[in-house]
Amino acid sequence: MFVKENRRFLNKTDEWIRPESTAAKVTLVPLTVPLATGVLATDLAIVHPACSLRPAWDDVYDLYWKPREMDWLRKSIMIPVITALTPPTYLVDLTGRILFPIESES
Amino acid sequence: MIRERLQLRVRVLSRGLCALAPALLLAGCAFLNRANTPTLNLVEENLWPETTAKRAVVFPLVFPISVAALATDAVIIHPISVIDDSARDTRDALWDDLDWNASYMTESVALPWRTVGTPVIFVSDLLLRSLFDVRENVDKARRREREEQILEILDQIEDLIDRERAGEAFDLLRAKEMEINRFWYQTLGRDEEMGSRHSSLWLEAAYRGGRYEQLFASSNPYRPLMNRKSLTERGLGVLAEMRTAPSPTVRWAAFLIEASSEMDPHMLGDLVREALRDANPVLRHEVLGWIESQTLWSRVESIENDL
Repeated sequence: MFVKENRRFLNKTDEWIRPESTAAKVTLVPLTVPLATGVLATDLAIVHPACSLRPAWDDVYDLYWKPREMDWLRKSIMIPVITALTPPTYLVDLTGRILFPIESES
Repeated sequence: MIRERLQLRVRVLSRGLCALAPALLLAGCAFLNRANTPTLNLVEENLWPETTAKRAVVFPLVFPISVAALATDAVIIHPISVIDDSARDTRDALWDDLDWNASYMTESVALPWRTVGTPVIFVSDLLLRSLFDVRENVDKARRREREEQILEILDQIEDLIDRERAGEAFDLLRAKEMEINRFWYQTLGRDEEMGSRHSSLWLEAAYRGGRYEQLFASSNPYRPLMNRKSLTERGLGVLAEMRTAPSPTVRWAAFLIEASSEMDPHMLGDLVREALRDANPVLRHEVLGWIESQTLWSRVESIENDL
């Protein structure tokens, strides 16, 4: 959440709510502090995890499912292993992406 | 047997470490640096005699006074002197880079955290700076000392000019220029007041000492870059005198200083018109050349802008 790019909803509200005068800025603070905190919580609990689903899957795909030069026998041996490993790897990657500022290579 | 020896070694090592830890902490203590003990320094300067015999006599009296002075330094004087540093640290850590215009909501979220964090960081920083000899304190003390030396040189130069020994003042400025400039670069030109005083003294010493050509000669490696904004009230007075000086070279130099800092086109126009009415034809010719060069530069700038 310390990285600006990960606070998508809050960044949008920054664009929407822009009081012009200093008086308006000061007056609105009691309202905007709880509101902005709610927006940040939404970012933290919903928006950022939702936006991390796809990059986490891309990571798993790159790691296990990307087509590689391999003969049939080896592929058939590997498939049950990577199938079993996919859900835990995905969960770990997703948690990491939600908690830490990990950037996608793409 | 081996276990007993091992236990003994561990005991000795742990005791050694316990004894070493306070020593290490003590080594970094603020009061071990002379720059952080002004009251004790005062006691030392005024009450501590030169000779050993006198020292032995006054020791029973000076010792408790010194302890009290050190305590005053440690508990009152030094902590008070670092309050501004702690405030600056807190501001840099929490209140810098605020952008209420572009990121109003983001700043709103951070506001309660910043407010809560301010006393915590301020007090922690103050404690750290009060107890330990933070490197920056040493640098600050050294810088203050250096600044005092430079101010002393500038006072000396001003005094020489006031006693109508401007030539000597000019020579002194030349001799000390490297030193003053080094300080100026080290402090990144933060002390604007000192910088203005320095420029003004250069101008006055050169003008009153009749060394004007020498100051602005291209062979002078310390040729100052001057404009109206970099002069003190006193320097501006000298500049006004220069504009009506008998020597056309001095009047020309005054024109250059004024013209290089005048951003208002109307004021600049007045300045140029006045210079073009000068009695000296060479000066008028120089002014025309200056106008030509300015026009050329503005053309170059407009071409660059177009590109």
